[in-house]
Amino acid sequence: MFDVAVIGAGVMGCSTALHLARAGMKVALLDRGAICREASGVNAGTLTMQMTRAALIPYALRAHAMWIDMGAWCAGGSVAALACPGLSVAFTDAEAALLETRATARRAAGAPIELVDGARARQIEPGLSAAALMAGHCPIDGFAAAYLTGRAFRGALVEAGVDLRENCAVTGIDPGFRLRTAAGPLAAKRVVLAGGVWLEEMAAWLGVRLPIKVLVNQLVVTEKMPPVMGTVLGIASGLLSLKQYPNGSVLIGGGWQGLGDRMRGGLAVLPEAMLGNMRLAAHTIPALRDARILRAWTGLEAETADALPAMGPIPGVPDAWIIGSVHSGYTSGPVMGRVLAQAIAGETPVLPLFPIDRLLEAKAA
Amino acid sequence: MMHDILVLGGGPAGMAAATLAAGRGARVALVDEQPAPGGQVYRAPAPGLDPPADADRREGDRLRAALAESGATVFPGHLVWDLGGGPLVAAGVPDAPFRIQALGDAPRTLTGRALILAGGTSERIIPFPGWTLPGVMGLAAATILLKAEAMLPGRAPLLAGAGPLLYAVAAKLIGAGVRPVAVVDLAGHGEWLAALPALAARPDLLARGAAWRAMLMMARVPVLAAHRLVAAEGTHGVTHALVQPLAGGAVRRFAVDCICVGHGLVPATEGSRAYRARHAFDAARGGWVAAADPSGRTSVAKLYVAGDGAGVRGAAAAPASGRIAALAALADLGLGEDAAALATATADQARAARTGAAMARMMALRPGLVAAIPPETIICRCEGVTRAAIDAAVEAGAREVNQLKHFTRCFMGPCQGRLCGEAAAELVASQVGGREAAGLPTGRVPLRPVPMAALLGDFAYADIPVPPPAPL
Amino acid sequence: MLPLDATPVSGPQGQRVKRTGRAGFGAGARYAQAVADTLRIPGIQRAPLVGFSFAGQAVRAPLGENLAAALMAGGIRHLGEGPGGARAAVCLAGACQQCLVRIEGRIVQACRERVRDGLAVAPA
Repeated sequence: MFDVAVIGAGVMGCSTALHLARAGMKVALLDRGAICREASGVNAGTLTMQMTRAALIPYALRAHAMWIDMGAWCAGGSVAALACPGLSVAFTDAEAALLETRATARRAAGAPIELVDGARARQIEPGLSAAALMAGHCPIDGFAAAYLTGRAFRGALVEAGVDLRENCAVTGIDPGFRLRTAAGPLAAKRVVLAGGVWLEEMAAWLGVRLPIKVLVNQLVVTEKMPPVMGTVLGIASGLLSLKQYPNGSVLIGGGWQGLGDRMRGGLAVLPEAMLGNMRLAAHTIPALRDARILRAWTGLEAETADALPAMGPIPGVPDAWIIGSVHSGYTSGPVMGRVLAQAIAGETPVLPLFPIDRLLEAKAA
Repeated sequence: MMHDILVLGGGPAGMAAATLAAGRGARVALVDEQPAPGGQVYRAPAPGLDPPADADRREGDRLRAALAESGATVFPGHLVWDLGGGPLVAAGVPDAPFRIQALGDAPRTLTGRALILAGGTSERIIPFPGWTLPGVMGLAAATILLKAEAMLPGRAPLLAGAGPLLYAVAAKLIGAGVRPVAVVDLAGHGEWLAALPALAARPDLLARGAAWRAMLMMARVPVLAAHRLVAAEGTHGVTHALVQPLAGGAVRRFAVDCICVGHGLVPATEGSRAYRARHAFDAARGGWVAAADPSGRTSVAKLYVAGDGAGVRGAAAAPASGRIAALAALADLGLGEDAAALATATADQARAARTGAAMARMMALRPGLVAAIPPETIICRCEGVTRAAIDAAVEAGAREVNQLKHFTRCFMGPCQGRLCGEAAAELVASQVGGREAAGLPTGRVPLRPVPMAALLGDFAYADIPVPPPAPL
Repeated sequence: MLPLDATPVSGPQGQRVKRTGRAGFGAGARYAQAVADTLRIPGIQRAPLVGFSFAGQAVRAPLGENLAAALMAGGIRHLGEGPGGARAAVCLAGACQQCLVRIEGRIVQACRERVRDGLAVAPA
């Protein structure tokens, strides 16, 4: 019998499982696929304070440090996280107004964001288009290579004694708890649901109705290029994320929607959305026009009704917990897993939970 | 304009499919990357070049002429980079027409109610020490140089690998006045003898093969059966090739200025993977292929596969295969059925495929080639990933190719796995119990790297249709 | 023996060797001199020669010839260094992405480009 079974091996599940194992629990971590192959492995890797919702700034600040220093707490694992300045750019007066509102809110929550004019922005980022009017500047933004997340966590999980069961789909949870899996039943005193967009299905296993919205985010990556930018860039509206990795490739994102759903996964990139996203990118960093596009893909991102995390105990089901649906959860993942692990272990969490009572609809029959 | 049938790939299968369908009144568009249709075997000479025609050229010209007269709209010089429509629609919505994005001198969108994938194959080259030296190229590459550019790959070439392409290239080189330094054939004499009954169905091919062997003998070209290329040596370019019997023994060194090496042909499944069709692994036909019925219908409605891209059966079987797929598409679109034509094409295909399949089996990946790769040998040239790094990644938990991609960056470079994918997949397979377990790469667009500038065009910032922003 | 379909061309003795100058970028000098424009099969009508350059080195080739082939014929096979070692044309079919070069600041595949007069090609 496991002390806890964590269902879903994305960044939330991995971080929770790792911290619980280090707290002395016997942990099983299950995933119907391989570790970190969904949102956690395919997202833009942006570690920015500027697109993080104000309420999540404290989490993002702590998690930023954890990502940068991942080797120290994750058995040498690395997602190649870099700290660098971030700029959120405005090209129109309307965008400038939006920028000021957002920056103010985030500053109030503790993020060191200053507003700079176009000339100063171009000093910070020389490749930035001359059409940029102003920008929000955060000196401590950064980014990571999301595809490294699985390998980064896996070694540490195994070393910590977590029983990692990949390609082991859970199909239901009976009281006790007794997880029904394709490989037979698995018994655990506690369960943690960490299934990203599939939290809705998972919650239903426990008779809880929690609607989760699915976003199908597109990303495009270029071929390796000479250096064209050094910051992590966004646009006031949030519709662009841009970063150039040390190997020269530039990753273009911003939440443009592709085709997909929970049942079929990320299905296809939509060329019109790709084109709009690329045009925004080239408008912001004109040198990108010279690049070749190598790959595009979609990833599924979860969002609750109020766009705030689902993180805490599951009401009415003792010893059942839930974590995820953070929207830009990758940024805060490591610290959220730690916080939940503290709560499960009976300690005082270093930051508040986000109890899901506020989100629940009438219990399923 | 909404076409009835879109055909991707202008090789013999694609040409025949488009020709038949357009000939029966369907609105057909054929798209191909090259300046003229032809594919690999029937590759047209480069524009402006007119070398003396051989049998392949004459057959290619015949197919091209029939296509030109058929009424099909042909888009040569167009790179297809995106595939959409069909089953790639919102949940609960019926399938849409197929919608492809192509890049010629300008971006172009083509739509059609049915789509025939006739993308042919790419050549498999299993890495060996020194394979990244300039002057090491594919057997198919040598064929392209000879056929399309009337150019030699070198003046002292060594040919290595498996299959009839070895002898076809050797013969062409001799005909062009260059004596291959050696032909290093993985197949033993016994294998060729065992293939003779299948070749008997095609006396013309049998005769041609015999003629090739005779040419090689007259030119005193050493033909080393059941031998493998061990390594390429050189500093700025390849200068020597090391060769050894498969059974072990003395290594011979040949002075060369180029090595033309090919380890079989791999069907192009990028289109069928992009549409999330079901695939099956069939080593004898080249590897992963779209699961299809005898008419080329895939698991996706109105999506068909034809030619070697559906499974290697040889160029002679390809036109019949294309005709079969076109007949199926016409029937499925309600544009007429023709049982007699289908029966004829099926018989033609079966006859040609008997030989083609025997040749395909000779080109199937041979055991030991991948196992022999030394650990420090580069597998993924785009990203600099060695065999040792791949083996370590599998040890670290990458048990299928998509996770291998995340663990090593293999498949993330511009070749999108075309050069490294087979070797990388085989390395995973050797530790996880086979190619089926190792999986196949998720279909992704763009199908080839595309220049951003060509897609962006001219635009104003205000024109960019922005979706609603993320919550505050 | 049945007639061969091979193209009859003059043998090595009958070929005229044209000199193209010094060794190419990174290519062995001995190879370049040996090759020096003897890779083109003789006896075939080709477009008039034009001049282009690779890494500043002058090369002559028929107008419209495949750029990767033209470079080879000019003694230049080593097109650059990639993460996995030397870059050189491997497949000539637009698949391998090892024949990358830079034209007008943009990376392109040499096997998909055609020679034109005055073309300035740089390593990728």
